[in-house]
Amino acid sequence: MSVQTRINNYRKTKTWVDVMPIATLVVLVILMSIGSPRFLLPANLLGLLSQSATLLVMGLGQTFIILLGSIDLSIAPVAAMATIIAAMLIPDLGYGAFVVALLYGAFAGLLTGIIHTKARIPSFIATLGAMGVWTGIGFIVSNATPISVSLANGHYLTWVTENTLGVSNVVYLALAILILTFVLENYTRFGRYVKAMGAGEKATYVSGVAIDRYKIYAFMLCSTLAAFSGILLSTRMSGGSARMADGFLMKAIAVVILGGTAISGGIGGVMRTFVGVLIVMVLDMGMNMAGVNPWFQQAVYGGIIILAVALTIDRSRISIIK
Amino acid sequence: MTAITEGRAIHKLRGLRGKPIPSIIGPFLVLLVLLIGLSIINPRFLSTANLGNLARQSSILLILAIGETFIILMGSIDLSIEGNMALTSVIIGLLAMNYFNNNDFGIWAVVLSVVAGTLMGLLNGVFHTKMRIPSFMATLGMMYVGLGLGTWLSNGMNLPLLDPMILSWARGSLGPVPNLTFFGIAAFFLAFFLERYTRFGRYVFAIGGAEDRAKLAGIPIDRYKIYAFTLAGFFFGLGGVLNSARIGAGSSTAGLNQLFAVITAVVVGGTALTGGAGGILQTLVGALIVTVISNGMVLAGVHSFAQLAVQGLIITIAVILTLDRSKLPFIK
Amino acid sequence: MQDIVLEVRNISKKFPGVQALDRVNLQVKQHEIVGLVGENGAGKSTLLKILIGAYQPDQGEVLVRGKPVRPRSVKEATDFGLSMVFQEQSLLSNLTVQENIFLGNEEAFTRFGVINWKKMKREAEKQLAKVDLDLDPGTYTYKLNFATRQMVELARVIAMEDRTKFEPIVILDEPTTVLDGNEIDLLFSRLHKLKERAAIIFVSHHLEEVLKITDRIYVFKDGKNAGELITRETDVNEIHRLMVGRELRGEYYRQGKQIKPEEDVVIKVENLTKSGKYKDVSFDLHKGEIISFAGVLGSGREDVCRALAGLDRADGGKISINGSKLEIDSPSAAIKAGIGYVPQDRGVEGLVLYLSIGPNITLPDLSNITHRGFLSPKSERRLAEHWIERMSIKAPGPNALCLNLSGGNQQKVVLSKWLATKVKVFILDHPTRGVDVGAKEEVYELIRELAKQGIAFLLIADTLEETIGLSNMIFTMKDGEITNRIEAPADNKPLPIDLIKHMM
Repeated sequence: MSVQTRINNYRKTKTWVDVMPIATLVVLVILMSIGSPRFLLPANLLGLLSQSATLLVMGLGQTFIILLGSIDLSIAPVAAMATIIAAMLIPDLGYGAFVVALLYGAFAGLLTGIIHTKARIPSFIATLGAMGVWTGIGFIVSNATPISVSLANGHYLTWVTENTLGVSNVVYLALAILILTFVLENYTRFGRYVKAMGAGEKATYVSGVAIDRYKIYAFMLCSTLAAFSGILLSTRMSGGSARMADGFLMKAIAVVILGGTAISGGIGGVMRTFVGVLIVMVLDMGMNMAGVNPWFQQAVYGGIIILAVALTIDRSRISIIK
Repeated sequence: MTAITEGRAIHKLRGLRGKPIPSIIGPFLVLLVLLIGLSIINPRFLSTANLGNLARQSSILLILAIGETFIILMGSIDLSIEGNMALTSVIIGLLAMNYFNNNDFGIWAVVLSVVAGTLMGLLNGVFHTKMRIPSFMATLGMMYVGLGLGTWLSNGMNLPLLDPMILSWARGSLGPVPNLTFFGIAAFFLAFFLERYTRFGRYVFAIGGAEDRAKLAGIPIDRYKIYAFTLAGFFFGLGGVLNSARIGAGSSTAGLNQLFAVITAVVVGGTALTGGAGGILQTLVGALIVTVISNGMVLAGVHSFAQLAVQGLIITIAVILTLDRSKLPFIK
Repeated sequence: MQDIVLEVRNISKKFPGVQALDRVNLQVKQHEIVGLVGENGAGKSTLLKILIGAYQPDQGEVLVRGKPVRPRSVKEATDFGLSMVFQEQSLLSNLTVQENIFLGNEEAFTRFGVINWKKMKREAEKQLAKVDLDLDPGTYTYKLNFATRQMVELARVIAMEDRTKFEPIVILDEPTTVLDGNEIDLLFSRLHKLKERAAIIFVSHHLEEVLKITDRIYVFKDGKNAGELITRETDVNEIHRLMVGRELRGEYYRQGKQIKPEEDVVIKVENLTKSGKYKDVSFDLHKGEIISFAGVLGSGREDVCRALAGLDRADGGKISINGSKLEIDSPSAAIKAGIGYVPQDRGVEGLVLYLSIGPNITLPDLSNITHRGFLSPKSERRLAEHWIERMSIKAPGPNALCLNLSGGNQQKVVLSKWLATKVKVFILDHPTRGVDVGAKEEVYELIRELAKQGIAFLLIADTLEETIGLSNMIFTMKDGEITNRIEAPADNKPLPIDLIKHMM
């Protein structure tokens, strides 16, 4: 095969979307290191990572939904509910509180998944409704007041907050989830089916795949991971509240799309979301150092989402955009 | 009879699944039952003070829901309400007479705020049509933009409004009728006129009914989508200004929890989320139903947070019951 | 002396793998109804799409009243005087009749965006009167039945004449498919009236109707003109002869390799019925047998195949696989029964275009590459390479997205997918559509080879020649029923003319 043919073949298999996110990350890192020489110090990077761990876990869950071509708008209230459940139940159940929180996440995802598939409601409506329901229930259950985990029960939180080998456990946990989801995405039937459904649902159906079942699994995974990120949040904040996950939805969507997983579905994956998290990490740090007002940063992310979607969406696949 | 002619016979009987012009009788009866039921359960419901509250809240909700109705009629959705209201509320908080600066722009503060809201709507329309981003995504992004800008400009603080004229719009009444009601009525008639008597209104229905056929007929789809989003932005901005007047301050939280109330009002009134069916009259009934339920819950001592859960539930159930699934090739 | 209002001169149009139109000519005179007939794929709908601006021709020109026109959209075409009553409804059911009649053209009643409803209603009444339709223009379209809607579409088309000040050229595409006898008579009487102020092109495969209503008839075949007839001087048989009549090129379909089917019955279908689509379809499919369904649009053949593929369940009837009754209510049920469906719409239902070859082949049965519960990319790669070699798939590499393959190679991937699941029956729906000649022959070779191994085929072919050449047995279908069963042994193949008379 000639060199030109090899290049042409490569072009046909790699697209711009594959390369952009990493290129962006590299550029940002270079800019940051110039601006702040201490940026590349391991201590600094690890500190940043532990702050982003929660976001990474949530983003990983949302990745599977976006790979499907759907969206889950309810992840923040689900995470918040998980913080409330954990904080409320630790005194009575100890570590069991975390198990309950995870089960709640799976249950929330099951509900949304069933409503989406069996009642055939578009995901953004089903999860919008879920968002309202869980926000409301969160406020009711916690009586709109934050719940603290008492010092006496503090030892239940150390599995996350402690340091191992100088690094906060939360980083290890998040990376473990990353590895887990990577295996799910690339080495299991579930991952394969999710990608196939997102890339071509009709053809996947004709190939005999039980579409509804795997969609429900995906929503269960996403909500369970949202709950897990809630657990991480509650341990680090030593409590739970209905407002604890505010602002996470926007960032979670941003990390998935900035990483290169298109909302048209089928293309992308968890490693890309990891890159997306790194990009957001560096971007946040850069904006903070530049003195950009934190609220203005929210506006910036809104704009970034719009831009990123515009750049990555595959218009050839959706004839009428509503 | 051959198989084909049998099939034709059935097609003739079945007609079209789901009527494009949903009757308001259903929702209206629901409203009536609620009104009667609540007055019996709690006589305070019919007190002048409470009725005044109802009129004020429903007027603002109606104005917001009118904007959203045009979008949903087209088959799209606008999630930017809360961001739009945050921005317009903060702008009026800063431009009208306040404690923090020497501004006293009066009516011009109102105009500029509403213009800002309208511009946000315009951007929604442009991003959706020209950059071909699905409406829920484009408006979600703009939601954060508006919210971020609003919180930034106000530094997260409340900006009490001191301008007596603006405050009187919300607090004053003409006899027993609160001033806000007049805004609501005016908005209603304007929107109704647009829906029934202008080409714009009919094209909105056409785009929502069958966008591919509308395009075939030569309708400039992108242009009218931009008009609709801009108009929605206008109504959201107006709602933001009036809500600020009602709470007495400009604040980035002016739109808190409004998204759910608005969508519930539109869906419950009978406007289908798939587009092409429903209308302003339906939204009027829907807005009244949502306000009455929320008012009833408050009177019954139910936590206002429960409302969010209830509304989320209502939206889901209403959509399950009314969604025209034949219009969605596959559900994503 | 009638003027020529529409002239099509040497129009050609090519799509990947097929010459849809090859220097066709057509003329329509003032106040005449011209019929356009031809088999599936003869080029009729391509020409119509060019006339109304949906496609652009590669060469040639269209002249309206002597002036060349090149419409680039439906709206432009109507401005030139060309408009079509579509086979699929183009009205908006959630709007009123008057709105539909003037949709996109409301300038006459609109000032500053505000509509004068009274004026529009009066105008609408005028247009409806032109087609003898007594209807309140304020009626919502969803309340009307098909026949009335078609009339409203006709009124919409006619309304154009007030805007362009010319007599319109009206194209009717298969207008009678959804009408019953009385409605057809009504339509024809209205068309007679319409003739006095318009020129009409009438496209249909219902030849009796074409003979009834038209003045002249054009016959298309393989994208070329096959004949121009004067209606009152011709009959059904002459039209049939012109529509078909190609030579079966020697061994193009590998007739020499056609085998006699075995005795075993693989699929037994009894009285399969679906209201509105097909009725009482019964047949036996034997091991190694190739059965084709021949029929035009609306004959029900695609629907029968989809029912057996699990995509569109029948209402009644019985399907038995190897003797036991089976409910084929989903694709996975069909796959378990050993049925592989190769759909017409390859890119939507056959392949996941944004995945590469390996994932597409393994999709129905991942157990081929699953070791201890996990997928093995290495196994998948080996599998992909195996099939690429076996089926001679030309691809940039095993990781290439199927999007980037040619039609023929895409089809080979679909076939590989089912062969990997060890199918016993292939349902092929237009398998060589959009496939170049070389790949077509490869597919024919493959079919013969597989038949020899005992795999049975249900086939819907692109052309009558392909149907005849490939099959052991041909079922002609019309209006949902099997009208004839014709044997097609290798040494005594029937002629297209023998088929066509049972198809239309």
